[in-house]
Amino acid sequence: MGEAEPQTTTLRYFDLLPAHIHPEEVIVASSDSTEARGRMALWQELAAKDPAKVVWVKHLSRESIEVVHGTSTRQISLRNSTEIEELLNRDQYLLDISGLSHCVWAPFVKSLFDRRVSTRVLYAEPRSYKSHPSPASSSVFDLSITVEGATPLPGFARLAEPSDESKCLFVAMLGFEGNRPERLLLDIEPIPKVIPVIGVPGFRIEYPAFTVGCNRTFLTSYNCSSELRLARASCPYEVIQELADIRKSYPDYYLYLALVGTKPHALGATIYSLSNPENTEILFDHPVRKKGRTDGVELIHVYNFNNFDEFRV
Amino acid sequence: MSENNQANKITILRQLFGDNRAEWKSSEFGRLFVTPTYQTKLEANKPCFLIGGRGTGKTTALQSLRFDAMNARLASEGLQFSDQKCLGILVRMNKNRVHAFSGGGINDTDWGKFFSHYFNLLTCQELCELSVWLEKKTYISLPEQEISLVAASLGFSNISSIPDLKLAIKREISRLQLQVNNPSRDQGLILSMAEAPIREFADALFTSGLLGDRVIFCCIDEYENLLDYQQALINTYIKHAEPPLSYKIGVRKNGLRNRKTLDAEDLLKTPDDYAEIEIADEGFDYFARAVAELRLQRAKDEGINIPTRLRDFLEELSLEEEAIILGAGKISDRVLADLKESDPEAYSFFAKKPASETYFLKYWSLSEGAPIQQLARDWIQNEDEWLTRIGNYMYASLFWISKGNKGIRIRKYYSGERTLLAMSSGNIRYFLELLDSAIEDQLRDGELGSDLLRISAKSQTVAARAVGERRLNQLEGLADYGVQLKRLVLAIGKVFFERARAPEGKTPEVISFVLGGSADKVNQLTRFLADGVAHLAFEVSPRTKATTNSELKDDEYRLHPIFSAFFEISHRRKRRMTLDAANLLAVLEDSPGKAISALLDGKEQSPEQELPEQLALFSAFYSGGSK
Repeated sequence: MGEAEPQTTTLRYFDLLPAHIHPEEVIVASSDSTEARGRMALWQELAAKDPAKVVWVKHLSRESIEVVHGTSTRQISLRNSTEIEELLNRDQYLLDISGLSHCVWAPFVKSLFDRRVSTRVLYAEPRSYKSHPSPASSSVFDLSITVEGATPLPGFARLAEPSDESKCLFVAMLGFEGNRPERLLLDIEPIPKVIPVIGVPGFRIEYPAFTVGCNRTFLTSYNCSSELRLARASCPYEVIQELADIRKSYPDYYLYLALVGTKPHALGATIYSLSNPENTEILFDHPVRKKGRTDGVELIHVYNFNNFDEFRV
Repeated sequence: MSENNQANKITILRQLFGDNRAEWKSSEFGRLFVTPTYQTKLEANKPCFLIGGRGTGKTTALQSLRFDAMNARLASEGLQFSDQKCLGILVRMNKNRVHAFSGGGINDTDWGKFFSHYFNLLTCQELCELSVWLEKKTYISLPEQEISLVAASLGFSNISSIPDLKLAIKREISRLQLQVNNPSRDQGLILSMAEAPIREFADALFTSGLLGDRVIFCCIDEYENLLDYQQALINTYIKHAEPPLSYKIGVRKNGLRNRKTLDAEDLLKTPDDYAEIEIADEGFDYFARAVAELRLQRAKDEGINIPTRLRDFLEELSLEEEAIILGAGKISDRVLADLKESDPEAYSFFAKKPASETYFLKYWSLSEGAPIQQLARDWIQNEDEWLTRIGNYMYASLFWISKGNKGIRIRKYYSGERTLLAMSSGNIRYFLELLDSAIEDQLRDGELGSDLLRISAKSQTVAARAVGERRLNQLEGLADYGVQLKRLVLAIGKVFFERARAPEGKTPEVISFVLGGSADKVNQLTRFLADGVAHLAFEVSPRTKATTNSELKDDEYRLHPIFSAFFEISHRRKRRMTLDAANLLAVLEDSPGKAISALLDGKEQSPEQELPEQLALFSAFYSGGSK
């Protein structure tokens, strides 16, 4: 940190300290995460000193949250941009997305992006994922109970059909749940060309191989292994760059972006979509997460997006 | 044949069968489209619902009605525009888009107003395309006044040309998108009335002479994606459809969840309001054979030495041939060796018989728990009875022949036209995938030589197993309860696999089941099974006859036959058993191995090293919680 810090950058910590938080920055964090990484002890510490320093978010439904900020508690509709603007009305934010679901952080990022608010996003890697006791698929982890199905993330609905349905790409940010991308893909007719993106390097050295293994059926069924793209699992910027590269290769194509991989990848894809609203569409299937799906906290990443201007087209 | 030439022919063959949606390419549409047996019903003026699972050809059938596709099809038959009686437009109900019209604190009535505006816009967008096409075909222009009336019904002013109308629709969809994303903030949209612009447009095309006496078919695909209130809205259009407009709806089985219309008292009824075409009941075998044979003919036309009759293309084994390939000879040798020692007279009787009969003594001996010598004597004295018995049980015995033979790669063959059609069970996509995979296997190591190309029973079997495995793995990602369904299919398939290999009890062809046990558990399970039926994990039919009082549910379920080769069980619908709902639900928990043992009434399961390789892949599941 300091004067030499580039405009957009990732800072990585094993121990996040009060000194790492900007003085004017307001933190947005989950108050009900069941994962250790979603309950950062530092936020409690900072809130104890200054309750206005942290906005606590509790998930109520796919479209609504309860927010505690200072002494006030209120419910907010994630489909109401005015309510989100009123909530996020300070000049600087640090969004801790580790314990927030996509349907919460994505509309927040949209609001901050649209209003050019100075934003940093924090993501804490888990130490490990829960293994499945009796796996029936190549997915060795036990992460979700079920998926609720494809419905737009709040604020990300697209109604216009692609102008040429033969010129569409399905870009899937792949993760450990190999059953998820195909369901999103099969909602599209006719089925577009598939470009998979895998997190390399992964959070752990073996994770990329796990990802390929978990998605073996998908990769072979759609014959897309030759189109495989790589982006660091913890880096939203690399995903943005990959998507920009894909766009260069397919300049007049409509991109369906399936968020079924890591959160940093989902974050990168979301920001790319915000910059390219006319020819991208976010697809998300709303998995219902298992309690205790991860254990511990490993590396903590803080991504500085400033006011997002660098990402605008 | 040069290498390039050969590679080219292989590519042609794989494209013909590999691209299951080859019909969609407009250049190929006329050449590869096979008219389904129900096409006449579909092209009748009356609205209709085309009902079928994924892969049954709904979309292709609706696509074939689109104005340009139908024209291309007619042209390939030597007909022309004047012969075209209907003009389809196609509107797909994309789930991600139509589900955006919900939530946000807005009630369904208000969402209905936005949604009907959206539907009007999408449909009018297609009608614009139809207008441009018709103008070229008829040399008649749609009058400006008519266009401005259509535009006004959508809430647009100062529009008098089709390009301007198209642009205005595009802009309006963007504005509607803002509204949907922020439903509590009024974007000041002028919402069109339900169906009014569509009807206005259709009438304009009619009165201006562009339509002639043709009917416009508004084809709506993926109707199951619509929310219940949205179905009620479209149901109203269907119920009150009048010429020159009619509706053709593609929907998955059980996808028409709501028969209400906007007037809640007034339900959508068949046959009063619409016709139902259930694809599964519409002569699938004839249609599938025609699709395959047209592609074989195309391959032949491209210079590939290939039969044009499907039954000549696919090798089919007789039961006797299959028994021998699977190892009946060795079993027969052991039977004869036994008889030679113990009953020389019986030995000389059976020594003259083919191995494909003698092995049956051993099967029946295990089945009845009777000594071979005693059965051999009985056979000699009652030969007719035994030949009938062989006729009845030989197929079932095929599943047992290879039991304990660890080295064998194929323990049961699935080949021939009838078997592949039965395994597809009305699903054209499955059928073409089976053929494509079989061709792939056949040509994997071999060459496409000058000899007549015929697909071996082995390649068909390998393909059937691979397609079953792919469908099983895909299941997890397709259905609402995909994760649960895959576990249920794996467990039920394993139960049937174990029973198929055990001659005791003579129930080797059990592939159907009814649910027994507590009503609560049955109800819990029925929810998953209904989802499984919609996504082709199971098939369901009303139960034919009650066997015990504890069978509470009337439906008889069957594992979809596409999984037969994967689980090495019969593809024929023969017998059923009762499965306890509580035990079945237990396979969804952490100890599926124990639950499967309970479903087998405690009978021992095959050791892991004896499982076929495709089932051994799931040993972590089968041994989960130990057996």
